[in-house]
Amino acid sequence: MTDQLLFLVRLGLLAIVYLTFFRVLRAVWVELRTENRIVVTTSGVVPVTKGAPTPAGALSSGAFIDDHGEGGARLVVLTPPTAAGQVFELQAETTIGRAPSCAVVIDDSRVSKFHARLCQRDGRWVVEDLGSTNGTLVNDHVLDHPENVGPGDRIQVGEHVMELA
Amino acid sequence: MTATELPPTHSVSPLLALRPRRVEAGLLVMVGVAVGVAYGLASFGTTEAIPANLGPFLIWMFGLGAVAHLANRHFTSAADPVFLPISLLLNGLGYVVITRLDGSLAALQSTWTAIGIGCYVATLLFLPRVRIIEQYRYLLGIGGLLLLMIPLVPGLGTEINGARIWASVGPINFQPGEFAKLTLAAFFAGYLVDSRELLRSRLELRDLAPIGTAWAGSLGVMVFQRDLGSSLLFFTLFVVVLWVASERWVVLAVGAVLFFGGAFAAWTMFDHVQKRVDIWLDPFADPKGDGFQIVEGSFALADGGLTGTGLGHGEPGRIPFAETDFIFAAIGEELGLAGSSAVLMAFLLLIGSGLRVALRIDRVFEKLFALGLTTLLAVQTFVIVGGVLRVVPLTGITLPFVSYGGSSLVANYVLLALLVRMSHEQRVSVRPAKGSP
Repeated sequence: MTDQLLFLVRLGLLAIVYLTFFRVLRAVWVELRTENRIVVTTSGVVPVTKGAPTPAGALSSGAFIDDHGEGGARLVVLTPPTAAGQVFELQAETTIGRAPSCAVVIDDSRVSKFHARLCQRDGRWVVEDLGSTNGTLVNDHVLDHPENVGPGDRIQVGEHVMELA
Repeated sequence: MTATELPPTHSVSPLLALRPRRVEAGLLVMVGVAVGVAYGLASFGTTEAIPANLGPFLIWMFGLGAVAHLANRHFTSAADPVFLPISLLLNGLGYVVITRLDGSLAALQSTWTAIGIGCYVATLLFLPRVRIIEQYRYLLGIGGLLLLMIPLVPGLGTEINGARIWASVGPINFQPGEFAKLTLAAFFAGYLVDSRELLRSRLELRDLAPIGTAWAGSLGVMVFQRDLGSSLLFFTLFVVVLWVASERWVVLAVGAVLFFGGAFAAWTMFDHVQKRVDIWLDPFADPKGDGFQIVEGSFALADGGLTGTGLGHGEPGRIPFAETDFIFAAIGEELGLAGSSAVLMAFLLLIGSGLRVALRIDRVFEKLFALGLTTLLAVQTFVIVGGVLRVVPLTGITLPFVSYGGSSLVANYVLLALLVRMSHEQRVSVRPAKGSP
C-alpha cells in the first residue's frame, strides 16, 4: 500500500467520524423540529410556552388530536404550586390518576392509580370517579355520580386542583 | 375515535417508536466502520500488515453493538438514538489506541467492554423505571460513602501510583469510587427532591449545612486517598445539582468560594498538591523529571499537527500513563487536531443529549439525577482533558469510555443505561398515547 493511499484512508477515517457527528446533529435537529410542531400532545405533562399556544390546526399529523371537540379542551393545574401551570390536553376519553398509563398522570400519593375519568358525550364533558380511595371533588363538592362539566369548572384529586379550560 | 374506547395507554405505535432505533442502527454502522478502519490503520502502522484478527475483531465489535442495540429496541424503544453510538465510538477509538500502545492491555479492555455492555443491558433489564431508585436514596448515599471508604480498609485497599483508590478482592482490582459516583448522584438527587422547597424559599446559615458537608466530605477524599480528581468531581457534582434544585445563584458563588478556599488550603498544606500546581505553571522547569509527563504530552500534541502522524506512526508510548490519563495526548499525536477535536465533539454531543433529557423530563428526581450523571461525564472530561492541555492542574482521572480501566468503563456503561432509560421515559410521556396510525 502506498503512502498516498494510506493518507487517503486516514482522511477517510476522519471523514467517517465527522459524518457520524453530522448524522447525530441531523437526528437531533429533526427531533427538535418535530417536537416544536407537536407541542401539544395527548398524554403526560406538556409545558406550554408563554404566549405561544399551539393551535390545533398547526399539527401536521392531525391524527393525534382529530378526536377533539371544538377548541380542544384542556386541564390547567392550579395547585399545588410545584405543578401549577401544567396543561393537559384532553382526549375524547381522558383518565386521571397515578398510573403511568393514565393520560393525565398525577404524582401524588393521595391519588389512586386510576382516579377519575373525563369523557366527551354529545359534545359535552362528563367527569366520573373511578372508585378512587380519596374521592374526587368538583367545584368543592364530592363527586358521587358522573357530572357534566364545562370551562371554568374545577376538578380536585388529592392535592391537585385542575381547571377545565 | 369514540368515547367507548379503552383508557389510553402508553403503548407507542411501532412506526414512531422505532424511528429513533432506525437512526441508532444507522449511526452504529457508521461508528463500526470508523472503528474498524481505525483498527486496521493502527495495526498496519505498527506491523506493516493487515491484522490477522481483523475478522474476529469486527465480529466482536459489531456483536457487542448489536446486543446493546437490540436491548434498546426491546427495553427503551423511544430513547434518544445519540447515546449508544457516540459512547461506542469513544470506546472503540480508545480501544484502538490502547491496542496500539500495549497489546497485553487490549485483551483486558475488550473483556471489560463486554462486561460493560452486559451491565448496560442488565441495567435496562432490571430497572424498568428510574423512579424506583428514588426510594433507595439514603441507602445509596450510605452505600456510596462505604464504597469510597473501602480502599482505606487495611487488607482490602491498595495504593497504586500514590492514590489510595483501589480495592483488591483476590486477583481483581477495582476502583469502588467509580461506582460511588453513580450512587452519590442518585443520593444527591433524591435528597434534594426532599429539601428543595426549603432551599428555595429562604436561605439561612443552616441551609448551607448540606453543601458544607459535601465540601468536608470531598476534602476528606482528597486528604485520605490523595485523589484530587475524584474530590473535585464529587464537589462539583453536588454544587451543580444543588444549584439547579434550589434555583439560586448564591449556591454557585458559595460553591466557588468554598472550592477556592479548599484548594488554597490544600495547596498550603500538602506537598503533592503544591507539586501539581508547580508542574502546571511551569512543566519545563524539570522536563526530565516532574514535568516529564506533561512535557511529553505537549510534544505529542504538537507532533500530531492537523491530521496526526497516522495511527501506529507516532510514539505516544513514551508518555507515562498514555493508555489511561494521557490517552487524549496519544489520540492528539496520531489523529491530530482533527481527531482530538472529534473526541471532544463526541463528548459535547453526549453531554448535550444528557442535558436535553434533564431539561425535558417531568419528574424532579429524574431531572436532577440526569443532570448529575451528565455533570459527572462533563466534569470528568474537562478535568482530564484540561489537565493534559494544561488548562488546569493535572489530576489523574479517566477519560470516560476512552481510557483503559475496567471499573471506569463498567460504571460509565451503567451511567449510560440510566440516561437512556430516562430518555425513553421522557419521550414516552410526551408521545401521543393514541390516535397514532
